[in-house]
Order: sequence, then C-alpha cells, then structure tokens
Amino acid sequence: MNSLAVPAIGGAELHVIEFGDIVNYFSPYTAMLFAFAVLFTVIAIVSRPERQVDIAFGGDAYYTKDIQPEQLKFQRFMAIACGLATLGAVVSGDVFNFTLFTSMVGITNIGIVAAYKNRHVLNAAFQYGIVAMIATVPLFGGAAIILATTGTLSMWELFGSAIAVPLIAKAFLVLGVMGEGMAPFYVAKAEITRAPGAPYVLIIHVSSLLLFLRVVEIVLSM
Amino acid sequence: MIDFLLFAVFTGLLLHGIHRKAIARIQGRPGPPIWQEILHSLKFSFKETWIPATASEVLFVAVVLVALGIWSAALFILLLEGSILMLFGIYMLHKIVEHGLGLSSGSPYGKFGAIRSVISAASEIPLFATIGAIYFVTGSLQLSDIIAYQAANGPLLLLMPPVAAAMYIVILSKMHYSPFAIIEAKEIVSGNRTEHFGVWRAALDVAFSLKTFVLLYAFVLIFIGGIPFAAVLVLMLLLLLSLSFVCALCPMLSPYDTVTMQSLATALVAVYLVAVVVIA
Amino acid sequence: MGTGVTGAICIAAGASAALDMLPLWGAGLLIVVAFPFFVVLLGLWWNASEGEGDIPFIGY
Repeated sequence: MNSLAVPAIGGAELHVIEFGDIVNYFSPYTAMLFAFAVLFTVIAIVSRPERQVDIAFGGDAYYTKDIQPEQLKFQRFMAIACGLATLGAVVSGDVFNFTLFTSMVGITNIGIVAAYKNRHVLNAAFQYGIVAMIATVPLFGGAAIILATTGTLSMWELFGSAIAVPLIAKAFLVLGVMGEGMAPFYVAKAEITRAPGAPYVLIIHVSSLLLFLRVVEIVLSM
Repeated sequence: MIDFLLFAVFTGLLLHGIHRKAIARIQGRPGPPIWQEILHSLKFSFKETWIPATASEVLFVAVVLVALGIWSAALFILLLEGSILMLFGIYMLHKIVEHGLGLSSGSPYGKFGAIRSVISAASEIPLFATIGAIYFVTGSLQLSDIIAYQAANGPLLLLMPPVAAAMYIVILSKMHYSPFAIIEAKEIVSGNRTEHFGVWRAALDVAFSLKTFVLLYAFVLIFIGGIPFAAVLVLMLLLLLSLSFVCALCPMLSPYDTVTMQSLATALVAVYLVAVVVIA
Repeated sequence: MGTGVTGAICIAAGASAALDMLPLWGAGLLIVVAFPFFVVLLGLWWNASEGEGDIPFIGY
C-alpha cells in the first residue's frame, strides 16, 4: 500500500515505520540524513564539553570556562531533545509532522543555550527565538494551505503527479524552515554559537542544516 | 573502489599543490613543487600528536572521521552516478565539520573560525538554486539522467551558464586561499583548523583533497557530461587553474563582504530561475 | 592492529565489489565507514607520539 511515487528524487522507498496514522519512511536520502542526525546525537550524549580558553586582556594570562554540572545536564538534555526532533523531521512521511518537529527544533535550540548565563548569548537566543517564532507562521501556514487545497498531508499522495501543490505553499514551507536558522535569517544564530559546550551547540547547526536538506527534497518532490 | 578512492586522494593533494604553484607563479614567486601537499600530509602524519587538554575529546576526533567519511561517500556517489541531491546534502554537512573543528578544541581562534563558518552559510544557497534549476530543466537529479540529458541536448554549461557560474562560486568559496576563505584566514591563525595538528591535520588534508577532487569532478560531470575520464581530468585541471587565477588576483574579503557577495550571487541565480520559469 | 583491520576491510570491500560478490553501494558503505578510521589509525600508528595534552595556542 505504501509506495512512493516513482520517480521520487530521494530514491526508492526502503522501509516504512507506522505509528497508527503517523507514517515515517526511509529512502536512501532520508536514511542518510537520519544516520547523520543519529551520529551527532550520539556524539552529544557521549562527549564531554570543551573548556573554552579566553585570554585575559592586556597580559599573558588565560583562563578556561568550565561548565557547571547542572548546566551541563540541562544542555545535554536539550541537545538530545533537539536531536530526536531532527530525527523525527527527517524521516517524517507527513507534512504536518515535519512542520511540528521543525518548530520543536526551534524551541530546543533556544533551550540548549538558555542555561548559559551570558548577556550576549541570551540576547542572541532571544532574537533567534523571535525569528523562529515568526517563521512558524509561514511554516504551519504552508502545511495548512497544502491541506486546504489538496485535502491531504501525506507525502505518498503529494509526491504523485496527480496532485498539484500551490507554489505559495512550497515557498512558505521553505521560508519557515529557513527561519529556523538558514541563510538570511541566521544572524542571531552566529552569536548563539559563542556559548560553550561544543557538542551541544553543534546540534543547533546540525538540526537546521538537516531540516533544510529535508525541506528541499519535500518541496522539489511535490 | 578503494583504488579509485586512493587515486582521488593523491590527485586531490596534487591539485592542491598545483593550486599553490599556480598562485605563486601568478604572483611572481617560485612557489613550492607541485607534490608539496602530498609531502605535507605525510609529514603531518609522522608528527607527535595529542588532543588538547581543553578539547571535547570525542568531538575533536569524531569531526575528523566525519570529514573523511562524508567526502569518501561523495566520491562514491559520483562514481555510481547517484543523486546530486545527496551530493548537495554532503556539501551542507561539510559545514558541520567546519563548525565542529573550530568549536571542539576550546581555542579562541578555532571559535572565531567556527562562527565565521556559520555566517558564511550563504554559500550553501547558490547550490540550492543550482540544484533547483537543474531539476527544473532536466527533470531528474540522478547524475546518470543528467549525463544522458546532456548527451541528447548538449552540455548544461552552454544551456544554463548562470547556474554553472553559481556552482563555480560555490567551489571557489571552498578553495584554499580563496577570497571567500574567511574561516581559515590568517588573522585568526588557521581559523577552525588551528588546533588540529599532526595526524589530525594529515587526515583533514586527505579529506579536503577528496573534497577538492569531488567538487571539480562534480562540476565537470554536471555541466559538461559524459566524456572520457582522461578528458575529465584535463577539464578539472583547467577549472582548477581558473580558480587559482581568481585566488591569486583577489584579496581576501572581509566576512561581511563575503556574505554580501554570496548573497548577491544567490539573488542573481534566483532572478535567472524566475526568468526561466516565466519564459517556459 | 586497528590499522590492519580497517585497511583489510577497505581492500576486501574493494576486491569483492570488483568480483561482483558485493553490490557496489554495499562496498561503498563499508569503505566509507572503514576508510576514515584507517587513515587516522595509520597516522596514530606511525607517528612519533610521547606527549601529554597541552593548552591551545593563545597567541605570541
């Protein structure tokens, strides 16, 4: 019953996992993205954070910033949550689930750096949060337009040539994902990455790149 | 397959050497011999190696392995004429490698390199536009289909020059000494590679030589199509020499100018794409 | 030890793909996993390592 429209640009369908009406699937492309998300989530779980070296101004002295255990636990928890949300988004077979996981990635991205008490990082996280929140409007709007015009959110239906998805819905989806941290809207994200805890901060970047790669496939296939 | 991988590694290192030599000659210097980068990688691999005391150990080593893995995978995608969407994916994942390299050591210079790597994310968008345009024209993202399309309709380089120019800029922004190479600029020592020395550096050299080989090879396959492998190598060399000219003659841009230039390139491709869609 | 194992995996995968005993994508996958470890372990095997970790370079 579940077979993707041929030719699907992500490659042939390899495996389908159904949770009731929530259907996830692996194609060579989504499997590659999934493997990468798993890899970096595992790295976030097993690795210790780095200690950032700072030079004391005007001298030879340097000091390292250590992360307190409570903060480390919270950062790691948020990084794992972000990794799981990314995993959900890259293998989702349903446009709404994809948008839902994408917005969850936005929230956890703020969580990863929120515990770090530094004015610049928190300001950047706040600004990033505003952009990400605004971006959820076109994101869910795109999914809503797709549902309203085609009557379905399932990628098995949408990837077929029988259903024409309006261009504005595709543009909204891309815009929404870009708002979570891609090129013109990433300005605050660059400052966020100043926070210590490299394995966790890296997940912020992994998640937005993987989401963008996935939305490119979805939009080109529809 | 492993033979082709090793061939690509050594050819890539040789291309890096030729790149340095060409830049030096253009700037009126003698320059190192063209096999210098091969010797460099060997030299680094013999050197004493440890993980910096402040580094996040697992991440510090893992990004090196990831860099090698993704570019070997990219090479096999080209070899098996797979999907260029996957190639695009791997190119984007390289961003995470750059980022992880810089952040994992705790070094301030690495961190600056990593932050610059985030803000130069604009270099990925021209590639997205390229992929979209190719899909729109050829109706497929399988490399085998694209090559077949070019065999029937002539090279894409002549059919869509602005798209080829966008990919050219993408390759240029990943070359050593390029005007866009802000992440490894000398004012931040070696940027995100500052702390990866010895064996790590040798492994990264191997990975980056694969990257250069793959990007040049991909450009030739995507925009010129199926020609004998010897001709592909010659075209790759010519492409590299043209890149060397740009790198030798352009000063390194400041981070904000880099982003501006890359965004302008993206905007031009976007305008071209819209024009193509409207005319079609 | 690790160098030999990963190197052998790479060569075996390449050979079995050439002899049609393994699909090309399977051999590719094996090499993609084994090759990075081979390169790094090879360097770590023949390098001149005695040292302890040091703090990062912080400028002259």
